[in-house]
Amino acid sequence: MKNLNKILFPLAVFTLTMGACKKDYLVTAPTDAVSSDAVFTTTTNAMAALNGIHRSLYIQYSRQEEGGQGAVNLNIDYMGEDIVNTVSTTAFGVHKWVTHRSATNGNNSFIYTFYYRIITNANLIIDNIDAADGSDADKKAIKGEALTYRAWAHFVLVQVFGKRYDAAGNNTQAGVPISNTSKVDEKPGKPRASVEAVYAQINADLDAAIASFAGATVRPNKSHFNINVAKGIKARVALTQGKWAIAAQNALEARTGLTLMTNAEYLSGFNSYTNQEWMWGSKQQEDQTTYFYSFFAYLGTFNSTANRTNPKRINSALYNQITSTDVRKGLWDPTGTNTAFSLPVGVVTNATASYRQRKFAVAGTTSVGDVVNMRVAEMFLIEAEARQRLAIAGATAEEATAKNVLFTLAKNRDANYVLSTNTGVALLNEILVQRRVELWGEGFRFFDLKRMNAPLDRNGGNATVALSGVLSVPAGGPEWQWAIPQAEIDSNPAIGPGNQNP
Amino acid sequence: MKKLLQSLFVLMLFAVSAFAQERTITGTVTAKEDGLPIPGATVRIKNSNVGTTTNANGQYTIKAPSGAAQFDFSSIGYNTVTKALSAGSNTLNAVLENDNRVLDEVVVTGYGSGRRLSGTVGSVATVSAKTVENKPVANALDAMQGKVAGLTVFTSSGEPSSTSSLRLHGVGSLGASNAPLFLLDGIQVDETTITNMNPNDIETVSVLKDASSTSIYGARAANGVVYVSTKRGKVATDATISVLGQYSVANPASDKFYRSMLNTAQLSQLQIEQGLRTPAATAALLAQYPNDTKWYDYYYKKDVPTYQTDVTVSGGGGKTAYYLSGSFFEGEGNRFRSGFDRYTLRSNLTSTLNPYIKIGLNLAAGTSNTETNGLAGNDTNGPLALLAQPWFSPYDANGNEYYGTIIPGWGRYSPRYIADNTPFNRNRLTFNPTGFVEITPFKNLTIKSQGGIDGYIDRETSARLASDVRFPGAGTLSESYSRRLNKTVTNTIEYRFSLDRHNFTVLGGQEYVDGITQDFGANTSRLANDGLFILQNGDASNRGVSSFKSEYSFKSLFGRLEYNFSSKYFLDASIREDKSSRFGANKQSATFWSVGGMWRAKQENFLRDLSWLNDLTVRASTGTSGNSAIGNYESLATAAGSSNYNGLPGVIQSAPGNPDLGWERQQKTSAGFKASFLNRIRLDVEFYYRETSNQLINVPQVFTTGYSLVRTNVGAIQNKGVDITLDFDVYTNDEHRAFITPYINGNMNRNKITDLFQGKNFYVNPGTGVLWAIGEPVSYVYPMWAGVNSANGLPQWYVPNAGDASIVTRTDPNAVTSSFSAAGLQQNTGIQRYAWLNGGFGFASGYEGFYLNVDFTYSKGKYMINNDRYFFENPTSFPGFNQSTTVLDYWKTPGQNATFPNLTQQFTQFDSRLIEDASFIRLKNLQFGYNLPKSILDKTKALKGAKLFFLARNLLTFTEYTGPDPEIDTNVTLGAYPNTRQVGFGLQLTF
Repeated sequence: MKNLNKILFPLAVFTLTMGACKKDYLVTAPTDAVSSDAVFTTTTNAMAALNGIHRSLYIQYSRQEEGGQGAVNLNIDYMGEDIVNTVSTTAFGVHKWVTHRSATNGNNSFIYTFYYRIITNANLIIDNIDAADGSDADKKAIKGEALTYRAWAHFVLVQVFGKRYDAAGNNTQAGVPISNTSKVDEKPGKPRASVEAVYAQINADLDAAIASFAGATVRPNKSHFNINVAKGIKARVALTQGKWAIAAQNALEARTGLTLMTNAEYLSGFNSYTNQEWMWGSKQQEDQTTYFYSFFAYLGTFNSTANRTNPKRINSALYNQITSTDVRKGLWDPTGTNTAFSLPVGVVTNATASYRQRKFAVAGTTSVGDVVNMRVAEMFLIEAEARQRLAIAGATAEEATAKNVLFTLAKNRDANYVLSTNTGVALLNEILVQRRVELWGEGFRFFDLKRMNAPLDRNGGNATVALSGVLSVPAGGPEWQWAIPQAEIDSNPAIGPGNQNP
Repeated sequence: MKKLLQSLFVLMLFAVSAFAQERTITGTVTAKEDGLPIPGATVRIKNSNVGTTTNANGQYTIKAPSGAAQFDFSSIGYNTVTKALSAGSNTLNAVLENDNRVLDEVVVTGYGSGRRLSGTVGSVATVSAKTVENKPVANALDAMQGKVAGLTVFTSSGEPSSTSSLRLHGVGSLGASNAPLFLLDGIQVDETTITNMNPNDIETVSVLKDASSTSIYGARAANGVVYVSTKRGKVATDATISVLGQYSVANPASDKFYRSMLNTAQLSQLQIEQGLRTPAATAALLAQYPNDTKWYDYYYKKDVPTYQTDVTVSGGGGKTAYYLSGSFFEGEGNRFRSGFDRYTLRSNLTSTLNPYIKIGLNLAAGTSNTETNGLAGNDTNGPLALLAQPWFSPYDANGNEYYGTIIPGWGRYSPRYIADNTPFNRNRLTFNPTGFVEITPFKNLTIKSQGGIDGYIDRETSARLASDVRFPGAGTLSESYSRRLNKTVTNTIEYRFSLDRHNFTVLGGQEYVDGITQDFGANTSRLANDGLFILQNGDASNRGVSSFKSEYSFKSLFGRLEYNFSSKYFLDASIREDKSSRFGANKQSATFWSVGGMWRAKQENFLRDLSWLNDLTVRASTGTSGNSAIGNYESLATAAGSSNYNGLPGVIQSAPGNPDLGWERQQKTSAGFKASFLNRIRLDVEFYYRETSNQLINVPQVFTTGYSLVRTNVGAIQNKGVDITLDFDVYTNDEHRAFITPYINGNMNRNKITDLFQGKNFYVNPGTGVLWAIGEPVSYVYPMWAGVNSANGLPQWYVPNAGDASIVTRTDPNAVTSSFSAAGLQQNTGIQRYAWLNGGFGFASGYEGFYLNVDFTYSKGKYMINNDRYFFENPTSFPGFNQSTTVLDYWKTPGQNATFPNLTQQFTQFDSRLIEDASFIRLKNLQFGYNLPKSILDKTKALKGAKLFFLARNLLTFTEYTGPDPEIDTNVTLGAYPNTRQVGFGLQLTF
């Protein structure tokens, strides 16, 4: 029995202690991800979370048409009249004004989830950054950026899914759900807030961001926001809301100290945020290529099927309004056969491709290129438009300012430009044509039509029903609202089938 | 008159014995096979009805008159033995021999020391080595098909490395896995581990079905437990050496689907009718390509071989028993670059060190190489390569294969060339060591510590060769290394004791299970030379690396009380507490329990003398168990670090986590009986009801959260059904060792969803055709086909009910539409996803040295969406490609009742036509063999046995399913790799 104890005792000890001595036996952690809490312990880590949002602007989401912000820009411009396909295609089929009305359309849920994903990440930063270790200046910069992201994302969403903001109305029409906290709500799902409430949230966030950028660390590069970009977005928002004075003032402040690009830069491919005029752009590294998902694989010179068989063209009616001495005249090839255009090998080179573009070109050996999100030129255009609208509304003194602001931009693009002699609505229209030409392919046209309550009119140019499905859509109808994704209606108890856009 | 006399005689005997002097006889009844005690065995004075039964330790005490000298010992599953008491002795032990018809296996399930099936309250079905050995597949579980009532086994691929899908008693979870817990000698293992071991090392496979047997496995046991025991040697026996060799050839089990393709004449005619080509152009085309290729014959290799050989040595010395084996398996698949080979070694040792201590060590290791063809599913260089036009040929006029050159006309490289140039290989090193120490400090107290590892190291290589003419000098290479280690450590203490006729066994234990998977990989591209095909020779600017780690752990305490009164009334209760790292911090712990009872009615005096009734046992149990088969980190909110931006680190929220994520719970109640009659009929019936709640379902999320799916404990599903097993000896003749024993078993199961989530009363799983609706079984949801309009040849679908299309099926002939919309027309088809009847039948037979075993398996009410038909019956959507002959019946003239619409229409849409009845009966196994008689063996002086056998697998298939293979276990099948029909032979010699 004594011998037995010798064996039994150690065994019993072994039995009782094994595993139990390891208190964290049941605590495991993944290696390809970290606990969310760990992200916000320091400003350095929080900056990584911010970088994650920057990166999310150009990653491959599930379908090839889901390449991030570049893909959203394509959707928005394809809904307008200024981009014309070479062949009829199903890619970015919203061009035909049918699929965006389907709740099960992939592009609808892509846009919806893309921005709410940005908002979710921004909320975590906003709610946690104050407690992080680091300098106040860093915290202010990070928080300002996160607030700007949240405002910008809500702004795009409400323009896509909500009925337009009517400066004359009370804007109680359904917008989109407001997501402004990272705290888990007891009730799953938030209802569609009114358009007014969404804009109130957007402006509150932008004002907070502008305040936060005062005394903040200088941004490392143009993928980040600074006070100029926040004010630029504020100007966009005010322009959409019809708050002309605010729009003009913020646009002016946003571009103060910044310069327009040279004509040589204008023809260099719109693919680098080192361009002096760029205020905000998504920098993409060569080793982070998104292949055929890239903006430049659809609208660019990357050797993709979409670029070879379907070079994107400008509305010839718009092209014909560009003066021959304008640098921008050289961005499009009216013949379709100009071999000087360094388009991908095998591209369609005949009359069917007339007016094809070379504004956007790839920056590297793959489909990479920086995607432009805000330029100084837009600030000139916002200010000019806003001031001229004030003038039309009665503040006549603004017209001269509007003309001068327009002149600065137009003179830069066309050395022969002289100060406009147009007045009133004619001057406004001149500004708007400049806007269409200047911002072609940068994701504005559908939003511009919608904010101005203008009809879509593709007649008079090179668009055909075969290529575009529809040539005109009257203003103000239900087709200006994209359908809320069915999956959201199915899963969100606060949004029922009755809350779908009509 | 005879009976009356017998009765009188018995009476007289009684009268005499009443005056005789009595004495007390004691003894122990053990089994010959393993020397373990047989509880509940009947001991009776010969030619009397004075008798008793053995207790849990096989011991008995009987008062017998002094004249009684002959005693009968009997127990179910054993041959009855009559033994004479030696003069002057009061002790009489008996050793019973298995009758080889009903196995009363010792089951080592549920921890603790072994228990006989007949004394186990739980519902445990055991399949012996005979069922799984000498099959022409690597995967031993394939042979389990149709062998255990209630266990559905399907093998979904003809890939030689494939595993099977197993489901016990219906579909237990809508969100987490439905696979049972696999245990190999008590250690949790992955199902692939079974495929990577030698099936001939398996002694028994036990399937634990009810709460009484599974609840002690707690959180992992909701889908049942499959317990695999390996062979052991026996002490004090001479070595037995067995050598096996077998060879078989394989072909797809059914080629009906592939043989239905159009030939050159038919397809060219159809294309003329379609307006794709004029008759003149057709004549020119066929003059240029004068072939009628059966692409199936090119795509599937014929008569591919499977070799198998193994050597086993088993025996034992005075205190130590050993079992050693080595094996080799090599199987080639019918498709290009498909194969599996495997080498295994196993050493099982047990030794009794001294009267108190017993140790055992099982060491198993193996290496396998898996080769698969990545061109699967809808790949046009894979299964859809069969859409090639028959006039093109992979061979030129001289019979030389177009290999590395484009097939003229077809414009593609041959699928064989592409497969050869894009190889994938997985080399796996498996090791499964298990050891135990068992200490018996005093009688009936057993302390046991057991530990084991289920581990493997995989090295995977996938490449596109540099010599591939499609991408010359631009080879790609990806190498990865993955290591998995799952450890199980179990400590138990067990005490058996008896108070009079009350027998108790008390067990307590603790267990740790943890697992870790780690891998890393690297890839590169632009490799220029096949001979220098290593990572560092690739393009330096195109290199990638990755690494990954994932861990989980379980920590458990458990206990069990077993009680029986006189081996007649049994009661069994168990409890287990599990904690797992997979769940939210406050939800890690859960307690599971079971209670069961059994009545061995035959032991009752009033049944004991019913000579036609050999056994009757009634049992019932209820209890809970859990399911934790989800990802390791689903409860955690995480941010992933793969979002580096502009050369700086970047993270993005990757999962919202669910801190309240807890166990999926199941309650299962079963009741049944087991009976045998007339010494030849055995019947086992078991009813069950299982209800799963708090299911681990990926619930669609509000997009505004930024996430689309979050794993949540929601919803409930119930399954109820019955298992029936019947076998009977139609004929037995001991003199010629002749017998025919047919069997049939079946399981009928109904599942019903009783609760969902977010207040929904139905949910359509996106892209799967599967519907969950409260009050309904898991069903298919699709547009309902209403036939072709005979007037105009347009396709028609029923217009669903407005509002509740997912609940109500509407097939109103007055409400049809010719405008297809997958979303707009979908409705509950009323067709169930899972078969309601599954089972097997067959017979075992023998005569002298010959034997013939035939095993069929069947499934009724099995439905699948045959996605192949979308490609093979759609000439207007895939114009030019070859099609099935069925498409010839399309609408041409008004009034015609055609299968397909007119040529302006899409022939096939994703609608109810594709949901096919895949019920089947399959001759799963057939083995015919001959054992050399002893008279001849004795002359050899060396041979103990010699067996020559012929074997066949999947020899016959009866089904109305039109696709490649009805056995595929899925909702949507496309480009399936059909199971193989194998025939072969083998030779086994025993020395």
